[in-house]
Amino acid sequence: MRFSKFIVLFVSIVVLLVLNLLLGTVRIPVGEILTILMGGDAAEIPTNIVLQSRLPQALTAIAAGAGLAVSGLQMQTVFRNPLAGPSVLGISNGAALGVAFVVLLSGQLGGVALSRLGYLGDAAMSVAAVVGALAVLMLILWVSQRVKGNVTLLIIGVMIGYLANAIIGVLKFLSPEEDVKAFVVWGLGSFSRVSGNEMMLFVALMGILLPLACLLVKPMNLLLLGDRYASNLGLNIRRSRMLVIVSSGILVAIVTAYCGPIMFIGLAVPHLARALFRTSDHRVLMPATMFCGAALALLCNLIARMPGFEGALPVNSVTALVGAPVIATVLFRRRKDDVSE
Amino acid sequence: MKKISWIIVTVAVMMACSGQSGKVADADSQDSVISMEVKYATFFNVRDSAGVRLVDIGRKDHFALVRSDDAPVPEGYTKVRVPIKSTICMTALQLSNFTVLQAHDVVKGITGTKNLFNKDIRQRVKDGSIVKIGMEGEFDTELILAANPDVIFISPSKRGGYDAIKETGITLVPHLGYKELDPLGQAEWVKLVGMFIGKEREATVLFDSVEQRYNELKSKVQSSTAKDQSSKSQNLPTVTSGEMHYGTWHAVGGKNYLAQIFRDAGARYVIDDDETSGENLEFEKMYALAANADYWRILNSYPGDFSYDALKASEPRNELFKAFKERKVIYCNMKQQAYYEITPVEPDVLLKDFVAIFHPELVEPDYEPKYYRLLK
Repeated sequence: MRFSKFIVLFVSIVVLLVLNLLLGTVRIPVGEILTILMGGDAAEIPTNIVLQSRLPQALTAIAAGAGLAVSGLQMQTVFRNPLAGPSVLGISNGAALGVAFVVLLSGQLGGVALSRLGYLGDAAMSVAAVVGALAVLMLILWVSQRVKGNVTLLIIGVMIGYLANAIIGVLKFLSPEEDVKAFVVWGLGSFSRVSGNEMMLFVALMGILLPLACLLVKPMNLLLLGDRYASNLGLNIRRSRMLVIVSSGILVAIVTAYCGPIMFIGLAVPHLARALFRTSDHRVLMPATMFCGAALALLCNLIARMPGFEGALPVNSVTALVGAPVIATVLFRRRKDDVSE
Repeated sequence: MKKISWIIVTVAVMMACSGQSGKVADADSQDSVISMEVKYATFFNVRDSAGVRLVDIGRKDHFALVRSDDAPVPEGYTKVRVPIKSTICMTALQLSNFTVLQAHDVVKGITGTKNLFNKDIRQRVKDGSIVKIGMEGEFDTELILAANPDVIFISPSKRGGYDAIKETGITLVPHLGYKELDPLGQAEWVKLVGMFIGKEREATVLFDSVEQRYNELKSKVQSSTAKDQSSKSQNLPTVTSGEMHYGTWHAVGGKNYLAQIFRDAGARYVIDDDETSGENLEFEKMYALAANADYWRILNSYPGDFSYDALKASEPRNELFKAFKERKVIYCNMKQQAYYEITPVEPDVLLKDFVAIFHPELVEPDYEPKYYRLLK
């Protein structure tokens, strides 16, 4: 039964991937796209559009969607809180703060905006996002070693998020409009930023990190039982809590660095996976969340670029617009089934 | 000057009293008040009625420029005593009007000095005669009140925050030059500023010479490319514009005033739509439109010297464009060249820069471009 659900999910990912390659603002005949994908001879412009724009975008969406969803699941498990998500510990705010420093502050100091420094270019933003996110992560870890309760840690995380936002607000206030706009555009989030080698690197990184996250399935299952049971069962609570948070934080940091802050997926997809598979066993949930995340991100990316919209919609609007009804429906139907059972 | 304004006042009062509808402009054509004709700008209009100069800006804003406090003002018009002695500017476009009229002394406040090159303004900011009032939406009302300007020129496209200023009771005058689709229309707004600060003669002379230079070169281009334009052949060079940032391409619409300059300079702009301002396009859409464009215009702020390497580093897919491969990027660096603070009143220079690139045979061989040149 579960196996067949995985097959369905996998097939829908493949279908969505193909649709992502077939559809876009520019109309390219299906036959030509197939030729291009087979490596055949085709005109230069459609080839570049498919291979340099649509394919990287779809792969980025898969990797980012899976990464964010897993990160959200980890947070929800560690904190045993259904409203937890990647942004809840202030990690994505930390990434945003890093980028804000690069885009906004560097322009003020010495008049050299790091974000426009040629070879550093957008790479500077990615580095800043990772550094910012990891800095917050370190802070959280340091706190987590000293604080006992999960709720306290959660609240401290939220506070750090507010703090980061406040600093960003001050930086924005002090910066000229042009720089603020650049920062706002970054904050919209997008799967189409990375291409070429950067995209390869991103997908490769996620390809390594996601399986690593799966190694934490067992401690996560135990953490779900509550601290006392878990430690009775021989789990080193602090250590596993730290490992899960680190894994989750790094995933968010890297996705945010490459795609900007993408909301909603991390919070909502774990619920979708739980509803679909009706289990809280992470051995099933982990891959299920990954698959659902990838599928939802592909769907959102497809809708954002539907022909008819001039230009792409911001992915962040689409994730919530599309995702919220989908997930609400699934949860609602499950509730009804529960009642009838 | 005092005498002149006295004459004007007398004449105006007399005419108003006698109810004659004569043109005040005739009476003092020797002064800085001259009859005003708006030729290109579409968002402001001027009428002289009973000695009062009526200025309509957009649909909602109507101002009566009077030279004495007791001049009669028609209903629905906001009375403004001219010439104004002090004002606050919100945009570089407005500032350019004051710069070209050599009227920085009237400006008491600006929003910021980023990418501002004008030495005179910078000096005035330094010695405090011009204050920085903060960004749109975050104005420092106290500074505005302290500057106590007669009017404030605003730019309604921006983020707002004007309500707080409105509360102070200072007259807000929308400067809609940014809405003009014709480069000359945008430049013509210098006349509006001229009327407010009592320099209409200078403004008109300035604009007339810009208009003449622009139209001369434009018709030169038209006659030399007439064959290409009428036959819709592909002989005209094509040009694309803008850059990709964080996943979207920022381009100007097909009806934007820059697109008009491209057309007047004898090139075909790749975007042919009705969008008037900037638009955000997806990479694949822009690539399909612009991949084979002959030229690529880029305007940005880059520390140091911009290069093809830097262009590629900012987005690897940039090298897919023909203009990149053939090294035909037309570039202006706002870190090295004053741009928005002066180009609105120099559309003729912009045009010439582009003509020098698209059709070099039409300008003198030793022409030294001011803003745009081919990126080496």
